Amino acid sequence: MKAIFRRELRAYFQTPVGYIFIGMFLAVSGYFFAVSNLLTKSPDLGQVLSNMLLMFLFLIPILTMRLLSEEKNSRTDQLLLTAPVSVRSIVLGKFAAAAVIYLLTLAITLLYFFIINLYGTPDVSKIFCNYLGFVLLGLAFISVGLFVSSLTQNQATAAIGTFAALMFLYAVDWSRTVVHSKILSGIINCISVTKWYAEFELGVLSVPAIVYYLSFTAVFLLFTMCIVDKRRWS
Amino acid sequence: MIEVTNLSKHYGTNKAVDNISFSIAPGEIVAFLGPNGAGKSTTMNMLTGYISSTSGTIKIDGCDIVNKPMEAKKRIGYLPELPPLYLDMTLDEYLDFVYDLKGATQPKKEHLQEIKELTNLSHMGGRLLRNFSKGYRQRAGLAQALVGDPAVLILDEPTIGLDPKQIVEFRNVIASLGKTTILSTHILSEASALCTRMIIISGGKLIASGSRDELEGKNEFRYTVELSYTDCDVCSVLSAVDGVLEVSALEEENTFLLTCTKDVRPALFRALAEKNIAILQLKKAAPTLEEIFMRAVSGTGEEETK
Repeated sequence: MKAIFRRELRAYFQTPVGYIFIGMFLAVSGYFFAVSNLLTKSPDLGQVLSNMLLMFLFLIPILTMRLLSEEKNSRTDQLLLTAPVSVRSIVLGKFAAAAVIYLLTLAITLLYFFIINLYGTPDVSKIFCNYLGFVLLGLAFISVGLFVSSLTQNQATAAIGTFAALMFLYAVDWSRTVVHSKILSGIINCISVTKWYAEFELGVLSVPAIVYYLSFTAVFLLFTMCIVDKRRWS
Repeated sequence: MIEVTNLSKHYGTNKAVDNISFSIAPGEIVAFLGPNGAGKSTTMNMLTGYISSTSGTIKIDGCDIVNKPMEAKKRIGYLPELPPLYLDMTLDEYLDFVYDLKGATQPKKEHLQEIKELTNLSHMGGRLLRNFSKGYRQRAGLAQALVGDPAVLILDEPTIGLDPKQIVEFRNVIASLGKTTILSTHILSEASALCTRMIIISGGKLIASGSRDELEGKNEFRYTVELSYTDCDVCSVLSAVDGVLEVSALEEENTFLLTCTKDVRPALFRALAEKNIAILQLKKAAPTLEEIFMRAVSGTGEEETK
């Protein structure tokens, strides 16, 4: 797993993908920060993160599209699957690499916090909750991206598919108001990833939400392992 | 070393590999011979655990590839048809990664250096794999397979796309390793140059296995003979020679294929000299891969078939 993780991490910076993700993320969040904090003199950093939520739909596919699809495309999956490593460590290694890039980028945005701290009084506990929620949400989205990437050989297909999947998870919450069926709204509740972020947004450290995100991520990682394994058994 | 019993792989109703059994002793170099689409790659992919089998068992050094995949995979070095290279890495980075991936225990630097020397890649360490030519990619693929010093090498069409000099080098490297090796090819001369034994696969079935001599039929006397131009009836002269069963004219001018019951070469020479016909060329007719196939299928190779 360590070997795969290290290779994947390095690959982010040997190809433009890592730079594009980090660059775009910081550029957009920097813009939001300037507009909603600096220019309006607001100490509420949560606003930036909430705005970034929508950007996630575009950014996460960049991060995950290559992960498994490219292995199949270049046939390097033959090396991985015939080496003495388990499918689980392949999937986890790749997930960890994407997660580290994501967390690294998020860590850079902590600069905004220090800037606010310099000139105002940010609500530390709320910002902590915001960040925690954002980390969990990001990991959940990455697991979805990884899963979609395992379904195809083509990076572009993986990117578009991931975008569609994330868009669905993002937008499904809107239908809650018009759905009256108990079962249906229960399902919507389960898959509405962004809805669970609302509590973090308000600064509430919600244990159910934490559990929800962790299990959501775990389920998609498990799905990914099943897909990789199934291909060999078909 | 390798034990395969009743191996099958079905894709829907299509039987890519159909009930193949064979075993390979330690140190043996065996060729998988067959036309394109015969099931060679599928079999190799199953041997290495890349894909599963529909039925049957594979044991590498006693370790079942399904039940003990880690143990079995540790013993295999695999070079697939397309070398599995990460093109955005340099050769050194790549081999380093493979070393870690396989969890090899040899001293890293020396081991990788040794492999690079063996595959003639010592000077290429810092180059990006993307810039490697076909031949170099193939060598990098072999180098990758050798990392961790596996007991078994499985090479899928290893010499395809190489120039003649590289092919000879490649063969020498493989022969010098002394590992249990399976290599697939659809070129007969390749198999006979390197391998002690051949396994012929066609249409997913194992058709025949044995050494080249066994497959060709040792006690067979077939000759092609090219003669100088003559206006007399050569065919009747040739068939009059004692021991000649059948004479057939080949496509090339004045060239004939003789099927005989014994070595007729001295008698042939005398008979033709008498008629003042010169022999320009006379050689044993080696059967082509297709002919071996045909013979194996039609049953003349029955006793070699396992």
